[in-house]
Amino acid sequence: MPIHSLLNKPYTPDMNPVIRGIIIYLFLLLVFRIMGKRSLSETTMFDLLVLLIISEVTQQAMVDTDNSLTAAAILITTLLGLDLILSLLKKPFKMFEKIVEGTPLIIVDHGKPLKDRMSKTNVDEEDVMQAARANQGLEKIEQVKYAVLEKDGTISIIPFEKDK
Amino acid sequence: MFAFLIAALLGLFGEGPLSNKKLRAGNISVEYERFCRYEHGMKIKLESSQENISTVSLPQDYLENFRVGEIVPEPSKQVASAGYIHYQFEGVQNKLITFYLSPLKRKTVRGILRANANSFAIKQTIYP
Repeated sequence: MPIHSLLNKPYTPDMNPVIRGIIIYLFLLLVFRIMGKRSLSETTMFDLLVLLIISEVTQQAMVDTDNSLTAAAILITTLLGLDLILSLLKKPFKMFEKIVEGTPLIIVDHGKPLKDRMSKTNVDEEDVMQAARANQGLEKIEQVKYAVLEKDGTISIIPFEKDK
Repeated sequence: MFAFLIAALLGLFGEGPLSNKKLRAGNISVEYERFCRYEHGMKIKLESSQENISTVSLPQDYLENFRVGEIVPEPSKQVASAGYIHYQFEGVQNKLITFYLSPLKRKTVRGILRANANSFAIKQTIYP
């Protein structure tokens, strides 16, 4: 038996690392966009575990057996380049920003929870009250003038004026 | 940054139009990666449009820079002589042979590959 047949066959992917990087970046962008903003700010222990697994799988998909310095430099530059392109595109094209990051969303209007919006964004009244207590010291939802679900998934509370 | 990315996309660091090289002599063509990366597998593909490929010879000093992973189809015999490893293939109408190699050094390597009676000058740059 020839000696080379005892060795493992080297992996020979045909996909350029730049393309691999772009596909992974866009896929993650899409997945996290679909998952919704709330999932990013509400990280439980299990979510953290899932994120770690995602990072491991992503690393394998992008790098696999290619451990060369050149491939690492190409992938890092690709990811940073895409980030830069996206941030540059967001400024002139507001629609693009909306698609990529979403927009702040009012979920409580003058003390009334907007149920449709809350269910779509996976936010419940308890989440709003938690933010209201922590940030403004409020006790009831009627004291909240506006609650806004921000782009990063946090909830901002604007209370009614004190005289009201 | 973008110039580097475009160069990478075009294959200046492997896997792309700038990297793929095809040489032709007689009825045989050799396709290989001009730019490779350290320990990242690549292949050399020999294809014949007419005759059977019976012998492929690679210089020993060239092979020192690579780990030979697999040869498809498997050669029936390997003989070393005059600084070359001669891979002999049995079979009728064997028109396609692929060598899977993994670069072991970071440098530019050159070698004359022979297939049947044809010679091909190969030059490859291996990035770290």
